[in-house]
Amino acid sequence: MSADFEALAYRLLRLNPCVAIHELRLRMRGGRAFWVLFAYATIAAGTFLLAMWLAVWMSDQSSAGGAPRLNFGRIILSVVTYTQLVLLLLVLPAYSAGSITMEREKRTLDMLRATLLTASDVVSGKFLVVLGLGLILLLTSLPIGAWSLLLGGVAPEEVFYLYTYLFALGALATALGMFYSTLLGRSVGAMVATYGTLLALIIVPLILMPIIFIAIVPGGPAVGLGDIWGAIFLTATALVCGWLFYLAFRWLWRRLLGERLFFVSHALPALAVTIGLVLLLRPGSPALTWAAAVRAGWVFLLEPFVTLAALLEGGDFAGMFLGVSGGGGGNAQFLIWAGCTAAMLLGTALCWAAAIRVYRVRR
Amino acid sequence: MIEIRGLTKRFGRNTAVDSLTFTVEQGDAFGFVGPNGAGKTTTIRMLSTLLEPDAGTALVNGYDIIRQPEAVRACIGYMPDFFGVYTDMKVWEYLDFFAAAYRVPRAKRTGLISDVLELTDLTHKREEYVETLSRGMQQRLCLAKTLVHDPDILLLDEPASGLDPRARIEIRELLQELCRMKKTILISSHILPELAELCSKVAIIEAGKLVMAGAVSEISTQLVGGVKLGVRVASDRLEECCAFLRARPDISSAAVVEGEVEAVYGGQPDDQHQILSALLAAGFQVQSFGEREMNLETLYMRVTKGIVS
Repeated sequence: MSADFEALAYRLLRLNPCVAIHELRLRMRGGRAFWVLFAYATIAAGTFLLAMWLAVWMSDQSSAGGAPRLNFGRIILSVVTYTQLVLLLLVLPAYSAGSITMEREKRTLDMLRATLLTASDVVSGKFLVVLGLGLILLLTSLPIGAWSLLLGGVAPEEVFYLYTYLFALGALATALGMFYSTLLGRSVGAMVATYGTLLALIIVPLILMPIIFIAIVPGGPAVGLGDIWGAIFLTATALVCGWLFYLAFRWLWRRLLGERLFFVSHALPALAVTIGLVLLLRPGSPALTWAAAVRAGWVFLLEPFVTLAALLEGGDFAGMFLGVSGGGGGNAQFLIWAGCTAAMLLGTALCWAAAIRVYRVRR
Repeated sequence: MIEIRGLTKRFGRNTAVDSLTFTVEQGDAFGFVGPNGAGKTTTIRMLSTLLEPDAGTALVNGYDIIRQPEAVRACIGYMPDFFGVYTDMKVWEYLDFFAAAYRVPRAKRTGLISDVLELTDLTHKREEYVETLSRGMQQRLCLAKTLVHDPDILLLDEPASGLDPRARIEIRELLQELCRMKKTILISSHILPELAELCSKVAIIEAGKLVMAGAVSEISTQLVGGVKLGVRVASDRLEECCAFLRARPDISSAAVVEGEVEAVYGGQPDDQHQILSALLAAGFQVQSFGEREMNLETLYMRVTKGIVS
């Protein structure tokens, strides 16, 4: 059976599956894999119970004041989904970012390279196993997520949208880790680079969002930035972004050039970024006017938390990002799911291909 | 066979291997000797297609290491100088993985793994985890791994480094067995007496450059300008014998070394008997007479200067 599988995999995919089988042995043997699954399911179940308790408590509070009943199913689904987003983004890169660098550190890479295994055999084999682990983690939490269907207020296709999107995002995080693992020499460096890139993908749009959101999303919150609070918020956001830029710039400079810089030389570019952001994002700036004109709200959907919010909320909230309002909400939810999942899968394919290329070229 | 032509590798300004040229014939056990940093590992890594040369090339079993790396990999077994082992893996799984990596069909693998385990005397460790093996056993396992696809050529980089005497002897016996199996072996090592026992030919490399290559006897002939002869006569006539030999035109030098006369013979190999005849005719009671091969250590010390590239 196994022999047939190996021959079939090689004939159909031109892929020697021995790396995947080897990885499965290494990753799934012993207690480690069990404890990872156990911890994942425990955290997902724990947050589910906490959300349930909070929802019941909030429901009691609101029903006393005659407010409408809360949507239990949606609250549960939101909490379970956000928890899984964080868990997947933490767990999967840890596995993939160390997959090639560990071979290098353990001095087993040369022996692999001297065999008939191609770059694709090695990279894809390792990638697919980590991706499989991500799928197992998602499936483990599915019974917990399914409670939202029982509690009502959530359509089955919404659960499908969320889980497939989470899978695509997990695939991107895995492929990104794989890419850095082939590119960098050490596991620590590969993990820092992977988590750093993911953090930048998540945090920077989150920081900038309140300002740009107000300016370019039609039907967004009717709060102006012309008042004093708006100005303070804009400046604070620009300072945080400038500080992040400062840290990234310093790290890159030292890594690439191996030189220390004076504080002023670090800080000057950061200050320039801060001022630039304030000018760019001030109310009525040409950049924001242009972004509003071209309905650039969809850009925020590249941020996973925003995408999840749009998929969970649906309706007008989802429609805002695409510049549609009113009855277009349900359709917008589907469009957001299809577009964002496709974008994540495209990113995955690019990172995967880049990892294979780098592995082949790097000696 | 391995044919190396002008192989060169630079790392920045440092030339690790400089226009290396030599040939390893089919079935040879070829020693690759040189001080640390001489370029031995770099050369073996280039032959294993792990490093691309900056200039020159090499043919392994007729395949070019630059243009046909996959064909080269299929016919070589490479054992690196430092290697790690996978944890959480049994001995047979380790070998099965590498056999599969060399695309050995599954039906053949079980038999092949049993064979290499028997050859490396690890059959009783088949179900053990790799990390529980001793260093010597891990080294033998790595050798078993290089044999699992039955390659014609073995590239072994310091296969006995860091081993205790017993493990070194076991590895040496294993390599002797492989020599008997007519595998072409290129082996780098610092332990010269071991290489001398194993290898019929050697290449000496220093600072990336080839100093000498060929059969040990040929190199010593080249070095000393002839064949070294050892003559044992009565101890009170050693000096007299020495002077007698020095007077002959076909003897370039003679000296008393450790109770016998060592002389360098520069004449025709077939005429060596004339020396013995002359000694007997002159009344020397010759107790032993024969060629003395220069030992590899002496040879190595004579030709290298301790330069590191």
